[in-house]
Amino acid sequence: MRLSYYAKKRITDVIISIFMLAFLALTLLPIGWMVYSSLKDSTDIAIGKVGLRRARTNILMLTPENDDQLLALSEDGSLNYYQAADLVERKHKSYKTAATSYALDPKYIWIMSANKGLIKVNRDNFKKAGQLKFKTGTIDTNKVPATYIKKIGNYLYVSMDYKRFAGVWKVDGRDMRVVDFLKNAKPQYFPHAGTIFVKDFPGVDGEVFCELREGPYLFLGATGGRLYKYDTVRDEFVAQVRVPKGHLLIRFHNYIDMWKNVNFGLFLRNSLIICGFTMVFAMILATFAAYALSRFRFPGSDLFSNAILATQMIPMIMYLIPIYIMFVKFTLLTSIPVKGTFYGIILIYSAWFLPFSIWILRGFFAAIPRELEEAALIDGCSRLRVFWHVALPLAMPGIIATGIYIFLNAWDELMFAWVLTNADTQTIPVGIRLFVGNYQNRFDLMMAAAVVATVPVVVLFFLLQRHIVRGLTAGAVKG
Amino acid sequence: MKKNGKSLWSRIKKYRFAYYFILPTALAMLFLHLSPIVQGIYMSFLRLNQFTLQQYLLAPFCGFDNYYKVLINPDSPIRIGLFEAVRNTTIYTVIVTLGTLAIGIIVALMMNRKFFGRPLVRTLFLFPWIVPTYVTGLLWGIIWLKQGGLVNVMLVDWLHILPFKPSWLSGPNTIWAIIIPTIWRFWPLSMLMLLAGLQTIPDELYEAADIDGASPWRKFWMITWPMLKPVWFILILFGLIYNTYSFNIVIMMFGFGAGYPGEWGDLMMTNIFRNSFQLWNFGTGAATSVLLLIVMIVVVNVWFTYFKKSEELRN
Repeated sequence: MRLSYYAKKRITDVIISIFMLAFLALTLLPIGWMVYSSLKDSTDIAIGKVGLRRARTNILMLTPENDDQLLALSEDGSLNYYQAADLVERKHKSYKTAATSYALDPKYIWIMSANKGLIKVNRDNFKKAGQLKFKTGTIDTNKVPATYIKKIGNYLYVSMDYKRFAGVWKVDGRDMRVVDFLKNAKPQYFPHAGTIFVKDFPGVDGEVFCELREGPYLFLGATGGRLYKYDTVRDEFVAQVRVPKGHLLIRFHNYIDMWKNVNFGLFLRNSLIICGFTMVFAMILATFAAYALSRFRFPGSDLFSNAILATQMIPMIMYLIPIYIMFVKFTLLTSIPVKGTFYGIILIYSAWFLPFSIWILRGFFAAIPRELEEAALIDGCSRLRVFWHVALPLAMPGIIATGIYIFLNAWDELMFAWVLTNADTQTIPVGIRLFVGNYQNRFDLMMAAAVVATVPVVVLFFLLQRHIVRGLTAGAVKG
Repeated sequence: MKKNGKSLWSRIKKYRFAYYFILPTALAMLFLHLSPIVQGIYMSFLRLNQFTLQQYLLAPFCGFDNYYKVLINPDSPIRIGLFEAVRNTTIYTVIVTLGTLAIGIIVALMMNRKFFGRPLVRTLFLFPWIVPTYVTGLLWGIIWLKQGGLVNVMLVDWLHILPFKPSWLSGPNTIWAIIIPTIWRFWPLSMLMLLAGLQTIPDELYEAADIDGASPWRKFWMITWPMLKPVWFILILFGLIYNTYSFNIVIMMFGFGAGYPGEWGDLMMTNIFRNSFQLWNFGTGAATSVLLLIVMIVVVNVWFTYFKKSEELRN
């Protein structure tokens, strides 16, 4: 079959597009994996469980309801009505709680949970009637193994099984407010706290958490949300059902955990200060130098340009010890602290990123036609005014691009920051480096830290990406 | 002679303005580039270790002893893992530089068409380049994990290409575990620059080639590649320099594991870092740096000469 030129072109176009999008997906996959891993559990990352974990749905409580129905309450906060005769589901609602415990009264279901506090639910239509959140500070609610609840009169006594919160809240059930906080009072209100009554039953998959006897029938609530109806006379299972799957556990708490563990706010502030000032200083110096180099062939200009290129060839590690010792000696001589201060590291960074910035900026200034400046000079402008009013505005896109480039590079710098900062001025890379050493297998926290370290530069990039692309490509084409 | 000197002085006076402009930069370069470099080179002739660090430049002078230790003496502890570091750095630099360029040119050619959403696709392609290198090391350290890493999950659990889960972070595989993240991090930049270069090539050249009946392959090698020469010259130049001095990705991926001498994940920079800051042998560390610097100067000069020669040939 002979295809026309345009048909051929069209087909290759489509094939190339598909190939390109596939490659794009492959390129972005690691970043997606980073964000996804930061929401997972550390052990899940380590063992290679790709899917997110779901909340457990062990049935914790079974009660008869309106003679022909059965209320099954499971660990993920889901409330289910089943028809007692054939276990057909009538109604289901999940409150997506963690470490749930229940208390019942004729009108309400009380759900005590680690992540959502105490929830009061109407028993007939499963609507929320009130909620009370407890001040638990910074604890990771995903790690609270159990909560306890007991209803005595109009008061609810609730507690969380967590070492720092050994205490009982006394809550007024009518208007949902904390009446009292009883410290270290757990045992007297919850005599069986911490023990789970499980037993095996022949034929039941898993363990039985609760049972309910209704005439000749025995209802069994078991692991994984399995609900069985057992006929004790005929000695066989009559019906069986499973409550709906638990909600996905997306651990946003990793970020809070990471933030508290590594003091990330301090590192972020330090990085922003250091990179911001470095950007400004290096940009100002580089603009002047690049303008001079691109406009005038003064004695020594060739030497200067070659020196700028030559600095790029020197390994950074060669600077490290001399600069460290220069800092220490300077402090000894003048008693002005330099090592571990912001201005010390900003000075070093500005000097370090200067040559490359000059090199990029020179191309931008060279692209501005000289005639404009000569015209301004003839009109009687001073050199400085020409620079300020003619050259600078025209080179502005390039200057912005260079500035962002410096910021990105300063954000990325590890070696100098490692040696020249102290505990108060550590930047993000140093903080992450220390943190990786201390938390060897907390992959979730590492990924959360990685995401937080990436977000500021990504935001900056997407705000100013037009300038960056133009700046970088302009430098490239001129060679 | 006298006349020449006079004109030099008058030229300096004439360009007084330019000197004011470069003065701050020149001072910064003098104090924070030149002076440390001179000190660093001098350090390589001193017996500078944790005992003599206090004296710094007054430490005992030992001539070329440090160089002897690094290059010749087979018994010196400094040489443990040095050969492997040189080998790894060479492999790493060459493959990363060429790989970045190859992927960059392929994607740039694919991007050099008009299609819907092109600026968005270009921005998304640039995404890996914004991710800081230390994050790249950290992230790929997780991706290469033996049990739960994305690569092993994909190769073994999803695609069933391999019958077992290989270990990427130990043994010879390590070199790929550092090469691939580096390429992933840096190819978008070369793509961007090559794309900008591609857009400056006039269409008439391709039209003329079409009339002559040239195949796409021939068109690429006869038109596109030579026309892109300024771009790939710069990319290879800076690729060689930066990849030889690559540090962040390796140190974040292996921690000080990269410092295990003789492993496939040990590069020159980590080797020098270990010599200096773990063995406290600053003198030999400086000597190794100086040797590396000399090698780099030679490499860059060879590349420059090659470029100049081929330019002359073309003209």
